[in-house]
Amino acid sequence: MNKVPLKQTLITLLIILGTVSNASAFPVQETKISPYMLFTYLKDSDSRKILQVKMTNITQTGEKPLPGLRIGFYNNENLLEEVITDASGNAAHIISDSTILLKADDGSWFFTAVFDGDSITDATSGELSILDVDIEMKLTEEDGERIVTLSATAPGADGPVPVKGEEIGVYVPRMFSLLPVSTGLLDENGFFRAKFPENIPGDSLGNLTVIGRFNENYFYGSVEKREVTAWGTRAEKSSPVYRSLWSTLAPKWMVVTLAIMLLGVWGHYTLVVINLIRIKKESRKKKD
Amino acid sequence: MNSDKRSELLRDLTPEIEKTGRSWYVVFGILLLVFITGIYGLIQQIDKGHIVTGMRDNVVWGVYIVNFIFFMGLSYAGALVSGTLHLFKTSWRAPVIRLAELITVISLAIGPFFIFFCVGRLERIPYILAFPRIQSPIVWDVIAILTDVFGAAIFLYVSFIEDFAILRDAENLQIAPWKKKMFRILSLGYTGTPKQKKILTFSRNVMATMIIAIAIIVYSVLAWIFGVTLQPGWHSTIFGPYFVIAAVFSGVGLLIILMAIFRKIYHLEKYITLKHFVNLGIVLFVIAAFFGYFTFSDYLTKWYGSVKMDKILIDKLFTEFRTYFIFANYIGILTPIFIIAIPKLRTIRNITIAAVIALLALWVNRYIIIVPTLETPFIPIQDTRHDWLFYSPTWVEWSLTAAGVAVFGMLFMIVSKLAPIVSISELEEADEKNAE
Repeated sequence: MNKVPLKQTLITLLIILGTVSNASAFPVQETKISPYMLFTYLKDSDSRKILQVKMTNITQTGEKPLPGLRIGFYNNENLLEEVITDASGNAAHIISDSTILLKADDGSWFFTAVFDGDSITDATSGELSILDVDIEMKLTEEDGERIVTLSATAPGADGPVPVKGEEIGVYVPRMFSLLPVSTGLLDENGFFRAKFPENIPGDSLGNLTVIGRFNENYFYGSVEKREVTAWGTRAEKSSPVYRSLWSTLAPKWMVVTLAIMLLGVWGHYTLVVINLIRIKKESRKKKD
Repeated sequence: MNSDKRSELLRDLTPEIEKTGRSWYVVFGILLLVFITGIYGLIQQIDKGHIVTGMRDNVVWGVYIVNFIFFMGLSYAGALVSGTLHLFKTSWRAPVIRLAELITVISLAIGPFFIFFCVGRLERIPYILAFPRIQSPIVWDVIAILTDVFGAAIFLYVSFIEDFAILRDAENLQIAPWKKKMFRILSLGYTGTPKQKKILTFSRNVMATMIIAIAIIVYSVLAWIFGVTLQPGWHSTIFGPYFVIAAVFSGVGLLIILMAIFRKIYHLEKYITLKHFVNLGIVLFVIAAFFGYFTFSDYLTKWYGSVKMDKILIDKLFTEFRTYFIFANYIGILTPIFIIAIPKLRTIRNITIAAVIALLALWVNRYIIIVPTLETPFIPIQDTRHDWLFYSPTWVEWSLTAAGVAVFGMLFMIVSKLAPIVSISELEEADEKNAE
């Protein structure tokens, strides 16, 4: 046998170990994150005014949320609250009824959201100018048709003033987003009427939520009214089961293939076990 | 069989069955300590949850799954090698076939435990059997592994019967009475009558055939768990054969390593010779070439396709994971080929080194199949903490990995106390054929 010097063997092993130990190093992020701030305003169905921020890092693989960032919400120069972004990168401030908001000459509120930056993320900010507006929604049935009537008013010196010519819509919440049912412009009197379709699925009782909404309006932000009504079609409690990859019943070819394979294999096992018993019996015969 | 020859074989091949040396206890004790450390790690994991591992929401499979695939691969390779050697009546098989059979069963006994370590809600495991959906590759795998466990156990037992009968009848051996009783029961009264021999040979042939088929199917099923998903790097039509080739590559490597270890410890130089190493080395060479071809083919098509996620993954493999990639797919494949291709380098030590490199490279290969893909999800990771973005195994995972290796060694040592590591009956048969 040819002998190989031990030194040569050890050098080979050292090279391998060195290679493997180097492999544990992870790259360190060197550049700071340039965050993207989405700053929005929502007046919800309970007339709560909510300032919302979503902080994300846009990378090659998509948007990644940035949790743990301190966001300051301001009305003009007045700090309303500082909120830390959650795991989804969201931070929100609900403006309480007792808060007195400063208005600009045109009657709008000026809000800013500020992130001052930290050791790994650059500073950024966003601003919004919002005019307060109210929405009313009525659900009626006229001649067998389901009608949604939306009206919008803004506060004026002599009381509420109708909002004209702005786009407003009727929506239904679905799994991932709001399904637009009908959108259009408010008329001279601040009204919008839409026929509600009869084929939108509801829950098992046919209930669904109807939303009347200004959707990210340039002047008003998002403002909405919600109401639950039995205008949906009833969801089937159980759907028919058919054979497929994703149902509870497997395709027939799959069942047959598996059965043939298992029978084939376990049949041979059984044959061998029977043979082992035969060997044992053979030895008993010999003894007798 | 000449009784002197049999006595010589028994004397040479059963040293640990008669008495236990101090070194056996020392080595076993060290392995036991490693195993206990692993158990401590497991207790920590059960007590505190999977937070003590490096696995998070995205990289939900880490070193545990790597170990599972690795051990299962060793098992299937053992089955393929032993089944093939037996069916083709390879002339030089006698000293190595038992080792291959033991690799099959022992690896199969260890591998599935790593799945249990991976599962957060162990109490739900029975649901897989209680409410199986046979459309799920996970269920295919469970059925396949259970089938394989029984098949491998029967195959091993059938191959042991003749040796149990020899040990039962060996009057010169100083064996403990309980062992004698065990050999008497397990030998099934086999005395080598023509009928018994015929039945046993038939049974071994059936099981050898079955075990080859099962090994290919079961390891393909394991590969399909990855292949049928749409994950970048996994969704590949060649994953089935690629995994089978990889398994044989690592299994042959392990067989060579075990041959070197047992040859040295039990002084089996007379039985396990350079010829066996060279023959298995050539098998390793051929499989390395095939494995290299599959690896190149898999990555080439992904790279050329330039699908966004595949491109990101391949970039990652050549940057963050480049050291692993180079070791697994260059050093691990080319070193065995280089060593075995040059006749002058074909020494027992060199071939064993090539086998060690092949085995380690295959483990790393599994790592870079699993982890980089899970670090490259289609939906962006919803958290930017470092340990969520980058998987890094913790001491708990390493301790359980080491425990798995330790149990492998311990089980081999325990088997060496109960039965010969080299098949006496196979050697006798080979001698008889040589005499003819």
